[in-house]
Amino acid sequence: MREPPLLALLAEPGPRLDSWRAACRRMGAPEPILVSYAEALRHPERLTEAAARAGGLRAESPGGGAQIQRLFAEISGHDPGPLPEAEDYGRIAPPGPFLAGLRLAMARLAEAMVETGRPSLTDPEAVPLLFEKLESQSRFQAAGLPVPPLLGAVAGWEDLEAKMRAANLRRAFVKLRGGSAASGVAAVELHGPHVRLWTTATLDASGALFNTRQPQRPLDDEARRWVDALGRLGAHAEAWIPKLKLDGLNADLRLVTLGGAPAHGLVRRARVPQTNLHLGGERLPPEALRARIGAETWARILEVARRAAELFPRHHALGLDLAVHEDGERVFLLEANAFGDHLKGALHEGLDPHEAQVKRMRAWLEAERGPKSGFRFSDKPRDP
Amino acid sequence: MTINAHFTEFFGRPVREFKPGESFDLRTFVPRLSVDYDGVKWARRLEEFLQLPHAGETTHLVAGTYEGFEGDMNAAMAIGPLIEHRAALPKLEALFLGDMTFEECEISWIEPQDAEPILKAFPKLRVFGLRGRVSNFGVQSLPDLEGLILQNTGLTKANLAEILAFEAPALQEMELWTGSEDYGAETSVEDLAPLFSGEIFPRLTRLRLKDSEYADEIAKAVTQSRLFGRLEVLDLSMGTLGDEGAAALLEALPRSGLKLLDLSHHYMSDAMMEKFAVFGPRVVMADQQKEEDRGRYVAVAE
Repeated sequence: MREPPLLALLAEPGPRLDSWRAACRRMGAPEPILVSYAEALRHPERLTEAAARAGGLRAESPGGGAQIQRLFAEISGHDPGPLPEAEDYGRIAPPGPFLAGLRLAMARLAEAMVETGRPSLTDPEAVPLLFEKLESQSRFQAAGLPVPPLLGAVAGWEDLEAKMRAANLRRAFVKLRGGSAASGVAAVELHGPHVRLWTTATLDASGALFNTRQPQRPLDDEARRWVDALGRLGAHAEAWIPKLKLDGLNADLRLVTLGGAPAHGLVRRARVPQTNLHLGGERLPPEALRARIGAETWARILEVARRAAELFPRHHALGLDLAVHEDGERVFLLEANAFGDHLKGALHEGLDPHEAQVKRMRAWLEAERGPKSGFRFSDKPRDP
Repeated sequence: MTINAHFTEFFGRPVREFKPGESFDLRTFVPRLSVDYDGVKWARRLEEFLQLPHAGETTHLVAGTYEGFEGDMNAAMAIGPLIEHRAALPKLEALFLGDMTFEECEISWIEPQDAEPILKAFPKLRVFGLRGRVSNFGVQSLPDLEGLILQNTGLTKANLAEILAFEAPALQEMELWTGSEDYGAETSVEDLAPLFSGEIFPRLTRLRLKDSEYADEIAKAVTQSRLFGRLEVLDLSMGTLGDEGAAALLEALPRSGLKLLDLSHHYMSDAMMEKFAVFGPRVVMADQQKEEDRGRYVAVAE
């Protein structure tokens, strides 16, 4: 009997999909079935059919490219706008239509789960919430988790400055509502009468923002215009936690929890406040941080991660961004990412995050159907 | 590029941060006095420093941040207290004000500073350096001054005229940043003519004209000048030097007495750089830049 596919993936072509395919191959599982976001949204039966043929489901990040932006806008009844032109590359779009499209895609995933009874590594209710950064941070705060003090939605510079001064904050992070991958994130510093931003977007004369990998440091009036532009797109702010430095560079930790347990870790460090790897953040093993902060603080990091993951019990893999304050003591949960488990090279018990989830899905199915279900997978960890 | 590190050395000696309550080896190290962001004023830091048993022996002093994050950053916060306590620093001969990284304070955020009183109060200084814009130097007679450093992005015509009018017969080394027009820089190569004439500062042998938007013009003018034959060090780093100015330097180099030509952060072509290769380490060409659509940039442009 030919083995049925283990996973139906709601995903887009790219490195993340490649990583899932490689994980299935290495774990001895058949090739996953791919359903693109466009297929799932335009042909509601496709995802259900794929789920019925596969063992279980998983959604992967749709990415933020222009095609997805247009698809999500169109499908959710927003005007997708004119076709993007070459000069629009990297332009930061208002997050509303994207989030609406993502919610519809997750509703399709939920239907496929209900109609087929298949298990899913992705919780369709958790994903939109995790993309709404202000909502998810508020939820963590309500649960008593140490998030940076939240300033709420900000409409523009004047609003931000008033909120910062009222909270007696000199430094704040402004984030796009519904942002990811540091898109539109600006770290703001008040310096007496001056203001400075650390950001990874450029601002054009019309007030449009474009993502860039080159860190920008606008000052004073230019910085104020930047915050106005973020406010127009829809933004919120929180205190900027000065991160512990490793060899003089800002360091934080991406920690992947699997089934609620901390698993894969990667320390990232950069000269700028944004440590994201695609912006040139340097990777270090978790030991680099653990050695610096000691076992007790490290244990508190793991405890924060566990408690954060508890709030999303049906979402198997969370990518948490955690930082230790420069005081070396306080631990902060900076962000939780629905699709934050794509960590190249990070191994836990010999498996990368995707391999570990392939193994977990197999275990679920075997528990459900018994060991003679026809699913047979290699459980041997690959050579490091 | 930005200023992202503190001085490790000043006027030939290693610099160490002075920490209140700790001893300090004044014979080996230059003290750096700065305030953190705990509300302490620079004046208080100086008073703490002067309580050291041998503080009166201090010859070199570096001032870092004067203020915390609130309020304006201005060397007046150090100048006032230094003048007040000048009797406690009878041997001071080398002073730098404003050793701050851009993270601590962007150079353009330093409010225009009046340099006249500090130079009048310490007329025996051998080295004086200041970072940030200057409102006024006044008329100065500085018979012992060997080194002058002014680092900012907005050198005005008045600043330059006042400096070139200093009575400083012992001056050997001068560092000026001519800066960026966007931040108030006003000078052009014509304003440097009195300097290039060689008639002022008869002992000047080390000239650093840095962070300049007209580095090509400086290169062409200085190589044709009477001063050029005397120079041992010419530093045109951090500016917008391109092949045009470089060609003039290349032509003049063999007949010069230059031991060091520093052209770091430049816009020279690879072909031009190769032509300088025969001069070996005498010519420093680190940090080659590529011209962007909007033109060339000095290293510190804000």
